[in-house]
Amino acid sequence: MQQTADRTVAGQSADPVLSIRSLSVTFVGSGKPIPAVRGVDLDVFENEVLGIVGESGSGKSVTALAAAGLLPGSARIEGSIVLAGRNVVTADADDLRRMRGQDIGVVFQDPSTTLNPLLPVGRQIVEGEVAHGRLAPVAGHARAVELLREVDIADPENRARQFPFQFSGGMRQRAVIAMAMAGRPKVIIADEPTTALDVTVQAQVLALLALRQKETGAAVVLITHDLGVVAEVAHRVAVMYGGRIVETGAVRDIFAHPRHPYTAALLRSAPRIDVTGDRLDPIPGQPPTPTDMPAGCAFHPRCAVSAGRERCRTEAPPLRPVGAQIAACHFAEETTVASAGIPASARTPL
Amino acid sequence: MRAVDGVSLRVARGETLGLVGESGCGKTTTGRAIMGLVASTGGSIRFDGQEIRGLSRNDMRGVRRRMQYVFQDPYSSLNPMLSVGDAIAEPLRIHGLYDEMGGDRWIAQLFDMVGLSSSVAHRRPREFSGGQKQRIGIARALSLKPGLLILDEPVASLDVSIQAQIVNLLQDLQRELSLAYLFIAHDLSVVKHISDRVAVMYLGRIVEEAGKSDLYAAPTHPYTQALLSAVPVVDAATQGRGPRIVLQGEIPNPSAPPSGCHFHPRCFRATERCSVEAPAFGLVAGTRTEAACHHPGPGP
Amino acid sequence: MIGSLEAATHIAARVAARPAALAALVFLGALTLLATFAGALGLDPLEQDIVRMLEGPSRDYPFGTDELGRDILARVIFGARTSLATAAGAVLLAAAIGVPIGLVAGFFGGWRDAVLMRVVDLLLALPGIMMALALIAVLGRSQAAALVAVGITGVPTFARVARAQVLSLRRRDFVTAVEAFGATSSYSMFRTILPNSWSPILTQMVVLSSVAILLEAALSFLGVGIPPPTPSWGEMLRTGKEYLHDAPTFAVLPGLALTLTILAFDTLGRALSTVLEGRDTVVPARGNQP
Repeated sequence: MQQTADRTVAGQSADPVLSIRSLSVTFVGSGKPIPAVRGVDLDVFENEVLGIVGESGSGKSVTALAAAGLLPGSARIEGSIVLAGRNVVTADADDLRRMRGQDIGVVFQDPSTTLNPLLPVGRQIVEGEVAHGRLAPVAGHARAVELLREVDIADPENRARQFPFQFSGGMRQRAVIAMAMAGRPKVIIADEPTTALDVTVQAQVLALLALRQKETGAAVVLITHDLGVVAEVAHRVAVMYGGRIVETGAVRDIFAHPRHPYTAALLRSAPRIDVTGDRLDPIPGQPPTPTDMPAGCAFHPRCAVSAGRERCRTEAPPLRPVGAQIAACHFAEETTVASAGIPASARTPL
Repeated sequence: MRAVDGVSLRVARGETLGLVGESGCGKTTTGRAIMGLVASTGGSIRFDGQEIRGLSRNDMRGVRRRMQYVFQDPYSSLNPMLSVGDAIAEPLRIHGLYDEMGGDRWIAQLFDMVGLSSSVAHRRPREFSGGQKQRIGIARALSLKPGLLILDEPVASLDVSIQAQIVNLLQDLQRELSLAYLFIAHDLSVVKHISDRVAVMYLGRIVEEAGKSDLYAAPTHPYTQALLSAVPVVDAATQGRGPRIVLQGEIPNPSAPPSGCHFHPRCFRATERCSVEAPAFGLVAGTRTEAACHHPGPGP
Repeated sequence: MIGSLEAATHIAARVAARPAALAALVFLGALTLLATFAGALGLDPLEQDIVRMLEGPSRDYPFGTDELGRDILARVIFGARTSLATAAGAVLLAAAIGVPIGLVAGFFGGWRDAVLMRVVDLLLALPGIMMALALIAVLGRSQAAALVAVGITGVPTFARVARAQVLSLRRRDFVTAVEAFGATSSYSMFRTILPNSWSPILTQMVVLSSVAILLEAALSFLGVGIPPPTPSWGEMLRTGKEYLHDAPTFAVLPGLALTLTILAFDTLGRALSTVLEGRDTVVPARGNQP
């Protein structure tokens, strides 16, 4: 059912390039086990940007890192993650290494820690291809220049020879994008790629990411806490809360008619530059921590729709089609445009 | 290095002045210079009619009672060795006013004002979430009953759903206590929501200042226009917004700002004059907006 | 208060989880107990048994007697009292002088920093033993003089640790916050920065204890430390080496006690630094960049 719903939304006929089924990730360390992801199903298709939004502790980054096979040894992973026909969960270290660069590329939040400060930028961005034997070392510089040019870095000839500290923050993130895309991977995971950047630079980097995605036809999984970024760049969105997906569908549908009370409340709580409202409408309480997850629906203690209903406290709602999207709420039908989304009264133009 | 250059700001009682800009623009330095936490080399800072720049350490202590600072990072702004009750009481103890201001009852009242139960007073900061810590930071800043709060990115490190709680709290407190706020932030949506007037900084200078509605509806400085258009919005269809202005290049190193108008290398309206002559800050003809631009006017 | 107790228990548990550190802790605990209650054991380090000088191990004297017929075991146990007390005093003295120097130098910077740290560098440049000898020459030979001499050599270490702490903590908002409330400099230094610096200072105290014990023993060995007849390990080694032929067991016990004590403090210091400064936390491998 989920499969069909997802496909309808995405309007794709091909198989997904990344398919996650019943993914659970638990971190086991010295203390209590920490269940960071608690049953996630997700499909990502070619030629689309899927946004994953959520607050801290929602499991959005852990889900993405699991897909890239980048979780530390203390993570216990259950379920399956199939990337271009191969299961990431059961793959060994050699397989994973081969998949990175070829099947999957990663862009992290902080470009200054992603790049090795002691290597010229040009050498770093082709390092993967050289290491995988897809590029002769002598051709490295020429390829690096080409890649830097593709991400709009001026004077790529000289820039390729420079070190990361000679790059500005935005340029470093472009270099990281060039590096992630060097092997033409089928899926690019971008984990808060613009959070560390200024707003004018963020606009440049997002435009670049969207452009490169269109040119290469890759699938991009964009993890962010910024609803505005998702609205502008993504085609589909998955909203995560408490280690689960609570709502997923086309960006347009979800932002116009959120069906899960959390999505609706999140949209209502953020101040907006394009509307003038008197007072913000916050979500009461705190996001749950993985070690202290409420029973039943994880959102029920903060939910206006739940309001002490027995079912929300005891029974975890499954994802099911509601309207044009799918949502995990027992009472999703009650979350209407009037009770959620942007109140009509606040829709005063500038 | 000249981090802030010729900045003029006024905040009236009960008013919120938003100070926005990107990294390195000097907005935090401005806030800290007002508090006397960084030395300023010229100009005048008047508080309640009194010149406070160049005051002796002792006289400055008295001034600091009446203006307080709220930090961006609630994790690092609370002393990990103190219980949160002691943290809130610390400014009172420093000034020897604990009993005079009402002692335990006043502390309990402060907890109540920021929406926390005073039964948590004995706990350490690490037991609280980011939003709760920021509430504690606000209660601490209010303990001496200041007239002005300098809020340095007070919601930037909080989750979206928590940001709204803190913004509402700040607005309620302002109304109840007729506080003046200098609200320093990079998030233009939050600034728009909370401010009465807004000043935009770029590389150490104020480039535009106006009432909130004027600044957001009809920005005159090209940088303000670009900044506003760069903000990603949830639903672009709800407003008749023009095409996005994507600026070229990035913010130059503040220790070696460009000549003339600091913004000219990235500006879409720059002319020869902009690269040699720094524009004066003044009223833009036909508007209620003040700006520092040789070519002010509506969008590109 | 409850919080600090909890933290202390937590740290003790993590230190004790390391076998070597646990052994060191047990050894030092036992030594301290022995030294404290040495009198109650009926041992007398000063009683001379003139007819039984330089005897090997026997039922009466399990480690034999020294050149004046005194019980070596009793002298080693009472020697622990001398060693531990001198070391503790010296380390506390070093911290009491060094920490404020470092705090002031780091907090104010400028000329105060330059002057204070040059003095500290000067202290550091002189070999500890040389300086201690010079101090004793001035102060005369006594337990107090040994304590001061050993303590002064530890001052630079504490000054540097405290200064480094100030420099890193000053960037933290909670220190700026206290300043913004209108706190005095001494409030910032002693009420805010110092309590947050206890962990590296404590670690240094433990590490320096081993150095202090060694230095005190060295001074006694050279004959300028604690004056006889107070039992001291260094003094016993010095006398014992004269009788290596006639009574080879004489120097063994004090030497062993000295070595083990130094080793124990050092092991404990390392364990503390790993636990407190989080050097044993496992950094999760993020894998290679693609």
